[in-house]
Amino acid sequence: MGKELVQVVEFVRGRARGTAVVELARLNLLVGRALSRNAESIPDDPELVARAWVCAREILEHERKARR
Amino acid sequence: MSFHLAPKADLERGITTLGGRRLVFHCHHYNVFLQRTIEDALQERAPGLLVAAGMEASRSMLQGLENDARSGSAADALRRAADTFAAQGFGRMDVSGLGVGGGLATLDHSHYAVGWVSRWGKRPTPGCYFVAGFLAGAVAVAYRLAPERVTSRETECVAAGDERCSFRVEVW
Amino acid sequence: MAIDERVIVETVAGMGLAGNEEGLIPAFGLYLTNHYADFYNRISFGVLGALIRENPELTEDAIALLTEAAHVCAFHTFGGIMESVEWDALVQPMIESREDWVHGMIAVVNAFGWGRFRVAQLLPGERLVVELRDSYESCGYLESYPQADGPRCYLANGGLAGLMNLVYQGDITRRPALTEDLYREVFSHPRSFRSREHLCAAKGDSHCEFVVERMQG
Repeated sequence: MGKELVQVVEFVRGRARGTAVVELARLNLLVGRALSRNAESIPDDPELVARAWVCAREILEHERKARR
Repeated sequence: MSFHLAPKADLERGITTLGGRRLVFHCHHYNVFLQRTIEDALQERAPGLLVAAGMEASRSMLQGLENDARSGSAADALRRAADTFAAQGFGRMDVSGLGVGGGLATLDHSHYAVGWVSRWGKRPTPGCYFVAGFLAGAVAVAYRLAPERVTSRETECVAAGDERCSFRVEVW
Repeated sequence: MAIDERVIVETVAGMGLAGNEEGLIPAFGLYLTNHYADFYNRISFGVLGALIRENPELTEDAIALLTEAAHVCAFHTFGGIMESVEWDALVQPMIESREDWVHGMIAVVNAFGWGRFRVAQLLPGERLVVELRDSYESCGYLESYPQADGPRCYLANGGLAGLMNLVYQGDITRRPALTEDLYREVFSHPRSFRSREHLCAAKGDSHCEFVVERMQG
């Protein structure tokens, strides 16, 4: 249950440049599921996992582009 | 000559109004961050909310402004709307292509586009939803149209790499 | 305390911040707008309402991002103002202590149209309690919705945390560059400030009140 989704959450948590809770909130909204709180109990549906990875990369890329 | 009317400030209560509606100062960081939050949360439905909110907020303010100004001319009302928009920091728009049937409006330095690019770089789609809503509200007020008869969308946007922001206003 | 709020409010309100030839308001290192409270309220409460109806488990994520928007706002807007020549000319001469940076900025904010803020308590480096009347968020909420079951002033709430973080965590008095890196350093610090709105006019209280304290780390 949710092993790959947990990996996505940890990927964002580990690479977030700022407050991880903010990037995880964004991940949850984009995916439409509260992954950061419930990933372990959500089945690893391939479509959901693929979508979660796309959103995770989008979030981190967006933050990388933020003006410093 | 500017057609812009000055806001009214009640400094004791910390309230500023124009056309009877409240105005609040905010910076581009907040404006584009908030918009991105709405877009993330609602995704394909976000433009609908952002444009409708822009239209209703602008329409109620501009209607109040027209009541205060007591001008009978639609052209004057449109110019007043454009001057107010510029005075409020959203950019200076060309509304000469708008009429009772709608039309085209352009904006060279849109606050939302400039702010988005300044904070996050370019985006893949147009992003000046508030402006689209404002224009729909301005046309509805100027020509005394029911709000549901007016729609507006951005067809080119500086934030998406275009030379200027362009808006198509349609009247049904 | 030497901060003369009336002088600050009247001077800032009289600055006539308005669009230039391009229709933009470049000030304090930012682009400002004199925006419509109705717009902010419609989009903020609209998105929250949609999530509460359709996907309530995501409501706290939307609130986290609305609050984050306010942190970002405070960092850049308040920070930009406190490093500006206008601050140097108007507020700096009244400042006698670090706490006056908080009082001075609250006075400036009272000219922004957000409502009337009043500092009820300021424990240096530890705690800030602020009362807010005529908050544009709670007033706007009550115009369109029934009485709320919780606080609704996300901008004011996050903004006050941002102010305390600027003064006591980011040491704005040294005029650091307001970069994204500094933002992350200040707001990600385990002892940074967070605010809680425990009274809110939107939920039936006579006014809004915020308590800003350090996280426990």
